[in-house]
Amino acid sequence: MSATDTPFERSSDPYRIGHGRDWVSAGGGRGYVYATGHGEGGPASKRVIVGYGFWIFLLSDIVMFSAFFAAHAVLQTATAGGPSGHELFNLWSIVAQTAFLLISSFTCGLSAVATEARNHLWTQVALLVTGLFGLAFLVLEGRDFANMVMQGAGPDRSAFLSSLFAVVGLHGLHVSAGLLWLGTMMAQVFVKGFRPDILRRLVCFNLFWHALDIIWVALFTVVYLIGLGR
Amino acid sequence: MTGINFVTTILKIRAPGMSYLRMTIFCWTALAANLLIVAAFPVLTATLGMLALDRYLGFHFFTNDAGGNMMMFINLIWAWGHPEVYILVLPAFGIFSEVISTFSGKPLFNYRSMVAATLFICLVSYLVWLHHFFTMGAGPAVNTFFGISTSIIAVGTGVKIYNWLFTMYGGRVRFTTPMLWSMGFLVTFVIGGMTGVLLAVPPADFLLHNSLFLVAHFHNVIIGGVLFAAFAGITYWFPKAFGFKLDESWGKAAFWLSLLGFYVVFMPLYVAGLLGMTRRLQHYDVGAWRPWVLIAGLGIIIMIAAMACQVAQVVVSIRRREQLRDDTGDPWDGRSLEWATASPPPPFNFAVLPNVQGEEPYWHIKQRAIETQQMSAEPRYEPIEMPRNSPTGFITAFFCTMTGFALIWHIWWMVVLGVVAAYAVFVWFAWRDVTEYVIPTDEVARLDRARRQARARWLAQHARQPA
Repeated sequence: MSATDTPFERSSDPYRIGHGRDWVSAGGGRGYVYATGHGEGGPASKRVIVGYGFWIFLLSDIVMFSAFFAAHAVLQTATAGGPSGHELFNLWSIVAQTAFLLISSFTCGLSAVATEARNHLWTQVALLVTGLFGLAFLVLEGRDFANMVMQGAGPDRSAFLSSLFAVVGLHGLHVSAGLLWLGTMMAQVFVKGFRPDILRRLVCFNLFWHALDIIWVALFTVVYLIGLGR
Repeated sequence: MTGINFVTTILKIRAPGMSYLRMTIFCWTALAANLLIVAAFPVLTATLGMLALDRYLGFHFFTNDAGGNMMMFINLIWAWGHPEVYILVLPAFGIFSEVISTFSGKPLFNYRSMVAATLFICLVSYLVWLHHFFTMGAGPAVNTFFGISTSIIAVGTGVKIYNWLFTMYGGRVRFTTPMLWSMGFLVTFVIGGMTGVLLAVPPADFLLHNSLFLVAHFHNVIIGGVLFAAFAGITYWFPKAFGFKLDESWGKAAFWLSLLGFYVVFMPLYVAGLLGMTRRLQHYDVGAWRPWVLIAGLGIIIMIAAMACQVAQVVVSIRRREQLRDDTGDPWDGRSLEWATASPPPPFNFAVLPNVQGEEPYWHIKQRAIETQQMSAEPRYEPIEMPRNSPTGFITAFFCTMTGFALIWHIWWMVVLGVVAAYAVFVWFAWRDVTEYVIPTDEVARLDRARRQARARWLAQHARQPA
């Protein structure tokens, strides 16, 4: 049974990015034309496989966050006589952090647009701006944490503060890891250009950065908005 | 990571025509188990993270003072730990399905209900974690919910047991070592399952919690389920991986001794548990328990003899490997596609991706070849891309282990070194330019022609015999 007798011939990748460029340099490796994802069409292209795998990673990461959220929900009122969220949270700093993170997501999206247009300069600029906003976010968050610790409201004061520092800190740790990744990606784009594997990594990085936003929305609601009312 | 790898591979890298309902049951159970891995292990990561924060930085997640909640640890651990039990046993169910179907000479009975039962177990395994601590005192409503959900899991498992029995029914059963392990499992697992349903009833569990009855129950399902499956699977796929079969007589001796030893060890423990003996005792002074414990001790000796047979099986098989060699790649008259490759398979598995047209594609291809006495036409070979091997995983794991070791002993400079080195190795990996190598057409054709010749010889020998 030869592969050529069937409609499942190897051909260009239907999921490639770019607009009708040479598929080898534009997309992500070989895939089957009829790879609809329902299984009948044979293996999907590498771009689809990598993106899909990364989505599953993000979902498992969100499961990990959900365990921390659950712990925080259980311990939110366990202040053990210490300060509650109402007394501690600096609303304007949190608003600023939210704005910085959302803007960085927007510029991250712009970098994807620039990548799709294969524009080196604008890709790098957009990534750099993304990184700077991410850094600003981290600085504000670190300042808030330092203030709380200096008021004697560190993570060892009560179970409420333990879970607060843990869940917000975990998000901050993800943003820091994202910055490290972002720097590595900028270097890779600079040295290696828009190779298919680099393009796939950029897709993954974009997904990761936007996922951090989703987590932040949950953090803002569960930790800060609900916490302010307690 | 493993989970993500498997899920993505199974869902996105299937051969043409391999729709979901044409995948082997082993594939399905692997998929279900890996979905559980992806969804359950992050909870363990989070829990261990919280515990580490408690221990190293004075946090109060699970402490007794400052508002910490000790039972939250038990809840989180079992919210991971119960799905983990199904991560163990679902692939085992898959192995038994393959083995029983092959050695009964029949397709698996009611394949679709088997798939449904697998996914049902996968889902419900998330709704039962609290049955590990009914005695926490969560109240009747909560305990009732978890008692019922736990009992309901037995429905899915029951469906599977009947499917296996009906697969054997009316088949031409060959009593090979893997098949013996599977049949031993059927009996043993039913007993373990029934004691499990007993434990799922909260009032009964209040009496039996932390008793040897519980210990006997979970050993019953894990040894009878997972361990037997591992031995069945090893014997079944050993020739595929290494090119020669394992010695049958030593294998059978190992099976019978294991089965006997298992019953002699754990049946007395059920009795001792009902008599009130709790687990993890360093010393006891109740005379009534003594005979049962002694019998269990005798059983352990039988189990050790069984283990010795396992070792002997491997040693003897390696020495007799020339007689046991599998030339055709299909030593058991198998039904699924892995038996279409040579044993051991070439690095690319299939020279040309098979075009799947039914639930048991290999069986149909084989039957057609036997009927018409000729093989399918030689395909057009193409070069195959393969990922290059890389030591990155090992080196990164080394530095991560170093970090863990340093954390335990509070060697802070080593912690920093381990983390930085692990990241550096990762970037070094990400920086490489050539990630794949190509096996040229000639090499693919040479390997596949050798396989086809072996098949043709086999076909000539089996000209008259109906399979």
